[in-house]
Amino acid sequence: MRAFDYVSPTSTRQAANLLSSTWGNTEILAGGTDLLALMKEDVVTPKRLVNIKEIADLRGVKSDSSGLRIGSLTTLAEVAEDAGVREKYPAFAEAVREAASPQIRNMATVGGNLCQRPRCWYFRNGLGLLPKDESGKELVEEGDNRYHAILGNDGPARFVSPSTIVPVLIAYGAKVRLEGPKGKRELPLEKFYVIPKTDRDREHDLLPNEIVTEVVIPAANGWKVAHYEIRQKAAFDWPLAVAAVALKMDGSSVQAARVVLGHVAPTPWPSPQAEAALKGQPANEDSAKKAADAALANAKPLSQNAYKVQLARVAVKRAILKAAGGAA
Amino acid sequence: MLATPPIPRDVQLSLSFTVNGKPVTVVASPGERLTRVLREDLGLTGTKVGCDAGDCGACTVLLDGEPVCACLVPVAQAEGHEITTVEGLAGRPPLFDRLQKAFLQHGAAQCGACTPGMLVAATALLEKHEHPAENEVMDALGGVLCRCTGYRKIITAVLEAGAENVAPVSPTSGCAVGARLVRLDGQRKVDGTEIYGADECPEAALAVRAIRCPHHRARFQFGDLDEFVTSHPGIHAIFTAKDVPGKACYGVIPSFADQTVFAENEARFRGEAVAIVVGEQAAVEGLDLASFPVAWDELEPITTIDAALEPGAELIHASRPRNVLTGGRVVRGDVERALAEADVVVEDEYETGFVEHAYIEPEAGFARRVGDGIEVQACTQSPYMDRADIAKILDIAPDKVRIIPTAVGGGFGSKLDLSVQPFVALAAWHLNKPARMVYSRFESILSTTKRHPARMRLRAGASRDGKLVGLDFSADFNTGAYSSWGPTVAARVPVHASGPYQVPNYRAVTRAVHTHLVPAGAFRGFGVPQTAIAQEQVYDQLADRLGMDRLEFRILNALDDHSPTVTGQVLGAGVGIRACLEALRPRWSAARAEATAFNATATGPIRRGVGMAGMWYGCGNTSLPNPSTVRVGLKADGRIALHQGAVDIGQGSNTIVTQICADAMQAPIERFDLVSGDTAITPDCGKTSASRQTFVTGKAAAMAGEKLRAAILQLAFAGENAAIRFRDHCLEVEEGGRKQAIHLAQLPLDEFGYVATAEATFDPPTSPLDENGQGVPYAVFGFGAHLAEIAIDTELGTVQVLRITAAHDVGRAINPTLIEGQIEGGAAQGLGHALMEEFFPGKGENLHDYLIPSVGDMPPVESILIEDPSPVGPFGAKGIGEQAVIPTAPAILNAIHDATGVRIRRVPATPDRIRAAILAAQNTRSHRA
Ligand SMILES: Cc1cc2nc3c(=O)[nH]c(=O)nc-3n(C[C@H](O)[C@H](O)[C@H](O)COP(=O)(O)OP(=O)(O)OC[C@H]3O[C@@H](n4cnc5c(N)ncnc54)[C@H](O)[C@@H]3O)c2cc1C
Ligand code: FES
Ligand code: FES
Repeated sequence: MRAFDYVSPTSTRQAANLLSSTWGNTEILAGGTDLLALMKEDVVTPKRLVNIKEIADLRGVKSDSSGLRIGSLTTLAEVAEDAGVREKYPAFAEAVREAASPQIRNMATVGGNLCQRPRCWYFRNGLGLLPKDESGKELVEEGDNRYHAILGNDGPARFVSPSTIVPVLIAYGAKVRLEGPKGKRELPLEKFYVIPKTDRDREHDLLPNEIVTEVVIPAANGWKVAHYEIRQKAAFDWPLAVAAVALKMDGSSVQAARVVLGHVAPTPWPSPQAEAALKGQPANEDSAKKAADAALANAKPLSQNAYKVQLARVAVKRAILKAAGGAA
Repeated sequence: MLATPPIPRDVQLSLSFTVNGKPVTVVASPGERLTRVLREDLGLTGTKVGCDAGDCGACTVLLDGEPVCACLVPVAQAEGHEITTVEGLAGRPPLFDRLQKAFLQHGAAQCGACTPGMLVAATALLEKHEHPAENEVMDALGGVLCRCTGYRKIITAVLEAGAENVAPVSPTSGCAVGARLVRLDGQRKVDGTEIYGADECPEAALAVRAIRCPHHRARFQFGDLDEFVTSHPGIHAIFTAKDVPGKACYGVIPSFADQTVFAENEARFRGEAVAIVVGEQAAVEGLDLASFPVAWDELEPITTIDAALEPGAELIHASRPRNVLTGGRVVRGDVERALAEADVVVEDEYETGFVEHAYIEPEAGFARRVGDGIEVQACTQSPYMDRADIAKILDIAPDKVRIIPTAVGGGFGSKLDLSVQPFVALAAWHLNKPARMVYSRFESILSTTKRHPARMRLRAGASRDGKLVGLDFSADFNTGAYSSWGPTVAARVPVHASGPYQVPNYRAVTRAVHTHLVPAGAFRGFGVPQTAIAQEQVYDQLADRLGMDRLEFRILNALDDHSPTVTGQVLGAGVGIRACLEALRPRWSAARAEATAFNATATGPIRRGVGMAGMWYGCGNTSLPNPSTVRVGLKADGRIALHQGAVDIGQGSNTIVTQICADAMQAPIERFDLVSGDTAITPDCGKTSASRQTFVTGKAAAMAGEKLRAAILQLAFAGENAAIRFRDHCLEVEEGGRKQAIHLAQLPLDEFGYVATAEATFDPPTSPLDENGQGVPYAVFGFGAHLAEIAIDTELGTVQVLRITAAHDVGRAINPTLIEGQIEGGAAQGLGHALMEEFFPGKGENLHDYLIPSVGDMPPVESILIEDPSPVGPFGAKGIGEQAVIPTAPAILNAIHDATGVRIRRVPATPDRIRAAILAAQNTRSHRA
């Protein structure tokens, strides 16, 4: 690990001021579960670390008229144990419980989870987000892409968005709040993720000196939500596909739906196609299958990951059926 | 309030927090990992580092009572908090006492590298719920990987920690063999005091870091190395090939020795070392290796067996035509004719990939120069082989080299080859200062040996009455850039490819083929697990074609005491395969009935399946001498020193060999003091591999024990049947009512400092194989068979193993708990091999891309121990270490076929491969329709 400056501000404003306005110079340190690994491999080499863990305001779960507000420093373990989350947002609680390991959940923060970097093995080997060799050949396209994107992968990005808790947050209609030198802003969570076009871009709509302060989940009134993930091992590995679904039922037919896929594209991947396919239909095996087909209709597998299309399809189908069967 | 001003880099902070109840203040750079501070600054080495990335959980500590990965905690974030490490758990009786006892009792610690993490995670759970349910235990331990135990004994231990425990078994004289004795080195493993490779180092040791080739193949040229040293304060030296005194190549098999410490001019695999940088720890760790003066010229690598064998392919070693390292061959009868005349013939091809050992302890050690000699303390499976190679490398006499093996945090074959030893030895030798090296997980996966990828073709035939008539087997193994144990794999596989069955007509031909990839070496089973994956799937197909029950087909063809093996060996006794297969019968019928009933009514995508596979495995080197020498000494204080050099890599040889020696001497086991495998004080017991330690070293220990007993009886002029009672400073010998005391302090001491010493050497009787591979390759074989029950999600291609039943003929179960531990751990590795493990050189050199089973992946394993004694082994015992891993993968693969009708010919059977096979089967079916 290279040497760096270290600073522990106690307010978001101070933190924003300590962050550089260009990427590469500074990094925010929260739980460190991702950042320390990235720094060890010299994938990121900040000259200054801004430890935000001393900012008390960013901690904890509150609820008010806007819904549930989760401070960005709340750990995944705290979220999983929070009575309000478990009662009102059980699918989110489930996704959090399935993430990583107890040790990691005790350290990992929600803000860090939203901002964690892709697990693409080219990226983690220091070859960049959009890895190319000297001749400009795209390494993922030509190389080992078994775990890479099947949607939104026209290029140049082909990694997959890593968080397993973000798709269900999007399905719940969550928003993310940011604070930077120019003040505060709020975004629907799905807008927080962008596909980088050049190696200088990041995969988040985040300025280098902005901080995620909280995630707000609106009341899930009438929405039935489910999360479904497919992992190769029973636990503690990265999923091959994730799907989150929210259904608003009108009697026995779907009035509105939100369908979000994870681990299939460089961003969490909402599927308006699947949502349209469900609208007005009863939520059953047949409609779930059609919606799943619609969600993957535009999939374009790379040389080694065609199998993921089927896995994602099944994840969507099962998430729909799970949502239809379960409570909100 | 103002922010505290940024702390500039390189500035160290004074940080205060509590560790194990005591306030501490350390001076450290704020981003330093907590593991580093605990281990290096505070000397609390009980907390292990397996990956530095959150993937293994070996570093688990409690932070304010909650388990976290200390490797990901920047020490500044610990300020003001309370940390508890494994060393501090002792302050939490009675819960922790019970937990420790339960771990010992159940054999939940094997190598012990995961044990601190497991204990800390379990304590956090138990402090919340004293009586957790099994699934809660599994959730709580889900973040700690164990490569040895298969997890089940750990789960049981945690579940039972709530209950009252029985006291550990302490057998009386003459009854140690067969007892479920707690491992003798167990206490150190459960209190965090065991010393592994990275846990000790002399004051002011220099750190060593290797410069490794980033390409599969590259020519390289150094820039100005001297300038690099002078311009980097704290860096003392760089060493390259020209600094290696010994010019001869080294290697684990002397006749194939082809490795040098550093590549010269051209590196043959990604990860091959070309230089080391030596200096003060902080300076070495802070280096930006991108600025190291070396220019790489990437060359086109040969990465596949096909490309290597291509006529005209470039030679990876000029002396090895066609890139073939060596081959193996066993031929018996007339296979062509037998297959032509067979009533049914099955022909098939199988392929397996690289498998990483993934022990939790990465390689580590240090060296120091002592006069004109060198001492190397490191984790190793083979101290005497290390000694020979270090002597070669430094060009000094072997007796100038002392190897001090530390406890080994898992080896499974890879720690037979040298890793850090040449680097630290060279640095210490030249600089005359102690030098230390600890591999990162990345470096460990990158540069150490792997299981050989195999490509196997088989044709097997049977007659209508169900008898196997012939097997034609050929296999190519990708042996990577250097020989390592490639020749052993090539030689062992042809002897074993028949499986434990009577195959009258047989041809097995193998080749080990070089490529520009990481060397493949020894990994539990030396090629036989790959072979069993092919052979056992083909035998299932034959049984199906014959319309026979798959288990009964194997029973019908099982070897017996009097039938010749494929090398013409008649074992005469101790062939327990039939008993193993028959022991599976009850579960086989029940499981098949359950699966059939489940599938008949299944409406969803889940299907159940049951599969089984048999196995045999010769203990010790193939037709080569592999002696062990054991020394036992009676000390003047009445205790017994056992010099046994079999390195305990978790499998339990420290305990097993002592049990054997104790019973041979008819002495109580508590009297024994173990002396380690340090080459300066303990004779050579060979390497811990090939399942030879219980058998070979155990036998030597039995012989030495008997000899020492005889010597003592002679002192007392007593006959063979006299009883000896061991007292402090005194022996009582009783014969026919006549009692006499021998006061040990009155006796002279011999050259070893003992009152009496006995030494014995055992080398298993084998004979060389002739040009057709006929002869006696091993004196003893272990036999076994596994049954796997699975559920497969046919929509996803994911497999869940529900239960494993494992029957093993171990000759004599010296310690049933330790044997079960080997079986469960072997089954876990077999499960990994079948379903998830494949290493892609250059990709995923870490423990989150390289998947190994975690606690949730392991089903219950029922072990059935068959004891068909070997006439040669100590008390009839045979090996078990490698035997245990072999039949699991083929049993699972056969179960996948049973459930779905598809055969997986390329392992691991990952969801993509299983789905592709299911789709292909559906397509052929719909084309036919
Ligand atoms: C072994 C392992 C298994 C895992 N499994 C899963 C899984 O199954 N599912 C899953 O979703 N995740 C998983 N993760 C990822 C884990 O959840 C994230 O590493 C974690 O949530 C990151 O949080 P942190 O607080 O540790 O962030 P840090 O490591 O401190 O930071 C991560 C990144 O986010 C930035 N950042 C952090 N906080 C903020 C903020 N408030 N505002 C702006 N930027 C910020 C940092 O600068 C950095 O770039 C796993 C991680 C490990 C190590
Ligand atoms: S060393 Fe910390 S998780 Fe592996
Ligand atoms: S005992 Fe668990 S890793 Fe060895």
